[in-house]
Amino acid sequence: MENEIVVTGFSILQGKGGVALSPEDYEQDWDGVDTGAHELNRAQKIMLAAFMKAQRSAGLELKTIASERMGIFIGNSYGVDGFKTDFFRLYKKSNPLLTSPSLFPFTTPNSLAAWLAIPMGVKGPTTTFVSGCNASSHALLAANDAISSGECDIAFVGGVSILCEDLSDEFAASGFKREVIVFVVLESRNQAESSGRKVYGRVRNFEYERVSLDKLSQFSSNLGSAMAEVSFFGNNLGEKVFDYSNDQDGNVFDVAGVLSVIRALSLNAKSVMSSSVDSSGSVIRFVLEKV
Amino acid sequence: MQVGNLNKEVVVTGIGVVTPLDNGKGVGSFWDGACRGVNTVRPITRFDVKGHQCGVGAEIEGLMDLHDGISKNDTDPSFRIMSLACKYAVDDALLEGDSLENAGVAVGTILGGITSAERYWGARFFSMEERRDDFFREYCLDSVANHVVKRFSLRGPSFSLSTACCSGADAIRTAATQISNGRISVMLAGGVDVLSEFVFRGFSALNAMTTDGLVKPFDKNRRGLALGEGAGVLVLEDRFHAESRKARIYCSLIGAGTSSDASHIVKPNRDGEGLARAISQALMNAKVQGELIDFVCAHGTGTSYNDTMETKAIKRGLGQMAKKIKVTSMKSMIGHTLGAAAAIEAVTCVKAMETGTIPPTINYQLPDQECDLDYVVNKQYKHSIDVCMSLSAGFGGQNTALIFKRHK
Repeated sequence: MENEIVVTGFSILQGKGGVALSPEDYEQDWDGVDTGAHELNRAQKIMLAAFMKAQRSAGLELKTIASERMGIFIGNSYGVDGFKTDFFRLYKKSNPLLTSPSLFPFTTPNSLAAWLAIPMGVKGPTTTFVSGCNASSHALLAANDAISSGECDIAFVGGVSILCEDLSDEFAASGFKREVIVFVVLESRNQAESSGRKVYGRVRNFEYERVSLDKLSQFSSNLGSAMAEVSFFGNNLGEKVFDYSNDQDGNVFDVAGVLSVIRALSLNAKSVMSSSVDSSGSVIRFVLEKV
Repeated sequence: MQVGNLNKEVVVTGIGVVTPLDNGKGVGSFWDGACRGVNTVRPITRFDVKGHQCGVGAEIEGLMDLHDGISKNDTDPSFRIMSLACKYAVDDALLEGDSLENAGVAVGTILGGITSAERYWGARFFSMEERRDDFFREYCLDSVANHVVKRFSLRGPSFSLSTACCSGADAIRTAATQISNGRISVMLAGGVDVLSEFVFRGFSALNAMTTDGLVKPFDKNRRGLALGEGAGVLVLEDRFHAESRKARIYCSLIGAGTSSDASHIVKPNRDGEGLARAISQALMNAKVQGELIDFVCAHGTGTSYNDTMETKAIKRGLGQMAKKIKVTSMKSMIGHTLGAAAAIEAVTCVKAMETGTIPPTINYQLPDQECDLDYVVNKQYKHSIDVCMSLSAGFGGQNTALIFKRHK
């Protein structure tokens, strides 16, 4: 029998009264992790808070789980751009030898996942998808596959939509309204139930489709959004019950797939389909079924 | 590769590269240069390196003029070389019609359209040229894959990922998983990155680059890495699909493993524990023992830290027979091509199995007690290879191992 992949924890952090998240709002969530010692920046601190909220939501004690059996899968495209802009502001003016040694490691897109893996001691697969508006859907799929194949037992799957101030014009033009960081915890149903963890829902039926760019631009103009579409459907798959792109968060970029899982858990529907599309027309969809 | 529920066998039916060894002329030229041990690390001409301790890198000659047959001349060079590497791979696989149109693409990259990013920021902060919308579009990390989709009118899935220097290997691994799980039959998978002032300054600040102008992996007097640029692509295919269209099959991707060190953002675990776990996982995934590996295409950056760590990891992961396994580093010739490195090294594995030839680790002079494996140094080595492994390790403690088996 197929081993079901289930959601046992989740977290969602959104900017309050504006676009930006403030790490100071989440200090209590770091739970003893010395963010100073790890030299975490704003994005990393907020991610750490979201990760730990999801971990607590699942009732997971990381110390009791073999570190190599846990994985981190992130969907994120712009989380490191703050570093890049800081650098670009200066680099034509400054002496090359004054460039910070942090420049390259901090601007590699996987650095956000790595900075979670280090303080959390996660030694399994760590992958960052940078596929634009369906990045976190790809992260969910990769986590699903990693658990199914036995690569890891627990997967922390994140979507990270972080604002880069210098790109705010471009972000606004794409429908960006606020920062959102979300995490879900995935594991096999057998493991979750044998460990006594609450099972919220299961993810299944991942599939790909490609829509033509004409159709995509039609989506975009209908939604008033440049790129992303995330739609939820109830049991009757013809009935659209929720269209996230028109919701308060606007275009949720990299966060879409994981956020749809969390939103779906609050909907009055037994099963929900999530569909996200990137700017090339690549669609990834899956079903979340409540348990 | 045996993952998921359907366990479809994943085979390699086409390969393509663009590197400083071939300068866009294709795999034949790449392989000829690699086997002759041509050093492409030279003084950098593309941007000013004054003030840096290191002034060398491996540049693709005529990069800005390379054309993939569709892009505009000023399209970001990352797009053009990835697209060109894909074209070579598609042609090599004789992929056409529905088989090509239904294919997907997976791209591993660290920098994406970094040339456009530099132009974008140059226009924005320093008015170096007129600001254009396409600078920002091409700057986005997913735009390379999107360009390939457009270039080949692909209808399959496309995705981009970034796992530092493992990016190319992880794109191949993740694409193979999609085939193995029956979601898609054909994927173009690989990696790309081009040399830029941005990344050069970053590595210079880390004091990671060679101070004597040479890259000398596993040599006692190794002085660091040189940056390179390029793209590498494999056509991965469900074996049944490949056989049904009578494709030539080079080899199978029989195993893959990945792990995280969780220790330091830049430095790998000194004892090689993380990379060794990726090796063990790949062996388990492939259902083979370490002694069956005939050749390891190493990460081999030429830094003191990496090469010692990697030697320990190979011994730890492959066991007692590790010292009898041939090991080489392509980075001695073409520098570190970052997100493309592991994909180019995967192509190296495929060619090594096909031709029975292992390219040399050049510039090797003085053995290091801490690097005591059977490295292929300075001259190519003829060796029948049935099973080989490609290793990569990157910032953030990323590690990935791929295992290929020759098709008979």
